[in-house]
Amino acid sequence: MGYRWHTGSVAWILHRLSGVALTFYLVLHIWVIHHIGQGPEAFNAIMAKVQTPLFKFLELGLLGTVLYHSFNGFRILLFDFGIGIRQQKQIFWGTVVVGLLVFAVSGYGMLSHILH
Amino acid sequence: MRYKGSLRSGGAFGWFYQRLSGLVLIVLLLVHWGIMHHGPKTADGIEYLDVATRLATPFWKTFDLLFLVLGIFHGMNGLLMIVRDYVRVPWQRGALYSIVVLLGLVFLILGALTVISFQVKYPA
Repeated sequence: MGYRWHTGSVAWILHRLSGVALTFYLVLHIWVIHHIGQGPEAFNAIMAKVQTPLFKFLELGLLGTVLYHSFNGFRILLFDFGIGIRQQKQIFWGTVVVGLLVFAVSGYGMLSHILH
Repeated sequence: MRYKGSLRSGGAFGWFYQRLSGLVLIVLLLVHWGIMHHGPKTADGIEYLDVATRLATPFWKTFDLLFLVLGIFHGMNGLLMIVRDYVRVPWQRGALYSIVVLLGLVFLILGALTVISFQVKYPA
């Protein structure tokens, strides 16, 4: 299958890549949280492992991936229902700007936790 | 695209499901995010009792189950769509379909058991 490299096709490939990454995260997340059934010691032990500075940093990547997939997914939904097709490019860059803003605000909140 | 209501269709149901569940997932994720990052916490990080006291209530069990089911189906449905688009050899496609379905089932069951069977165990 061939793609022509336009904003739309790049956005679509990134949508699929981010989706695969998020599915991988979901599976890991279910694995980590299932330890809660084994009681406080087991749960706190695994939670300590995934709340180190390294994981907090990785969580920023998760935030970015989620934001991209959510905003782009919403954009796809709009177009599928025939809304805003003529303003595709503007809507794409609009969601990029809003997404980056949310990333900056939420990311700052997460990082300030590490810095304390 | 015509939808004839069978698994051999052009994938219209999967397509529609992906849009609908995606929209609901955004709402559920916002709540999840708000609770986990701005909700009450006993310590700096997230600890057992922070999660356990919520997960023991019917409301949050229902919420998490819905989140789990929609999330797993959305993720696995997405993987199936990717396989359908890129894998042309029938046996390879069949094998990948089976792996995705199996993966989804295993983690759906693991997650559902975790949420449904959960009871608070207080530290000794």
